[in-house]
Amino acid sequence: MTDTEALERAYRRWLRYYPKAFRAEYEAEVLGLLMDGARAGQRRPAPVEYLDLVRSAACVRLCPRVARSERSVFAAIKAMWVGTALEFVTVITLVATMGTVRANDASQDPGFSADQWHATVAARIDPNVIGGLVAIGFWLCLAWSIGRGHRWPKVALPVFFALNLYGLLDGVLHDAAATSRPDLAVAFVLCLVELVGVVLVFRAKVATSTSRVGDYPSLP
Amino acid sequence: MTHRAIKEPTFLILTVLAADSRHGYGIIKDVGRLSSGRVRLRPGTLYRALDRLRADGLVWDDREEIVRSRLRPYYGLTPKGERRLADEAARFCSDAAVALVRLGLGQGESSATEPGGKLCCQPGRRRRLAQLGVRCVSGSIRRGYLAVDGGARDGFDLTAACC
Repeated sequence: MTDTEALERAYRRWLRYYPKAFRAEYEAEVLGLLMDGARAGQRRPAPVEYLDLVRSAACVRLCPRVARSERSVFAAIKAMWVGTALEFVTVITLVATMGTVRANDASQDPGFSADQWHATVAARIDPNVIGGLVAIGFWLCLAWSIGRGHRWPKVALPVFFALNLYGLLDGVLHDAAATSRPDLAVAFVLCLVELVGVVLVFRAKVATSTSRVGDYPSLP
Repeated sequence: MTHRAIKEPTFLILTVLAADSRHGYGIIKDVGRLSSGRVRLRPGTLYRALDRLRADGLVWDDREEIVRSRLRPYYGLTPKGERRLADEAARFCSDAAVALVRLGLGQGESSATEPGGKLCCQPGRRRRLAQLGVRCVSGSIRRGYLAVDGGARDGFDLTAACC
């Protein structure tokens, strides 16, 4: 294998980190530029080239794809990030206060055993922590999808909001004695953030631009 | 509508395309030349920026040419891209003029920020400029750009971005 072939093969391996649509559009051009800029006898990409390709690929995959003039979309993404942060804080608080919860339970019941503690963790803490982590993943997924112009957040977000609102109202109306005020406050704020997200997502007019040679891109 | 400020590499790409449509290699070379080698675009960064600019409606595919049996697309600015570049350039100019005035190198804020205003380089200020390593060139008054007295005959130049 010649140096040029080896280098091209190495570049193509790194270009695979880009999304398919991006590669279909630009791979030939990027590869041509990389090969034109290669030194004689170069068989592998330089470290700075690795870094450039990896960083660009990550940004193309993760960064919002809609036009920056779509302010509702970007505001909705920020709302999703606020929701993510709130869920993250909730999970951290749950984990950090486990010791306090155990001490409280032990002080109320002198015969409180390790088995009872494990049962408490399995029944009360683990589901909330797992639910929080799933919710974090869901918020992040929503933020990414809204930024890519996908349509499914328009269905998923209202459903998410409705479920959380039901949980909040249930906690307020039927289980008020067992539900602490901080829990209700967090649930209320999360519902508010979801409501804002729903409004913004439905206000957004997402247009993905595709331009062919000689045509202007579709402008929002 | 106020836009978020664009980064320098993106600004330079738009500036390069303002003169004429370019292919990727031409953009990289021109950006390097415009920035005196300070900004070095890599292919991954360039095409990510071009993809972003196309999604924003600021850049479009102007034409394609066959070069060494390879299809080479040329990118150009849309009218929206031209307006955006002009707005960004005027904003840089305005910010730079205010900074120079506050450094004691400009004539006054009102003249520095109004279209048609003048930033007059007094001899003492030119020496101060030289001490700061700032170069003066003549410019034209347009959309907040400023005219600068002095120039080559005095041996001092002002940064082109603000003049």
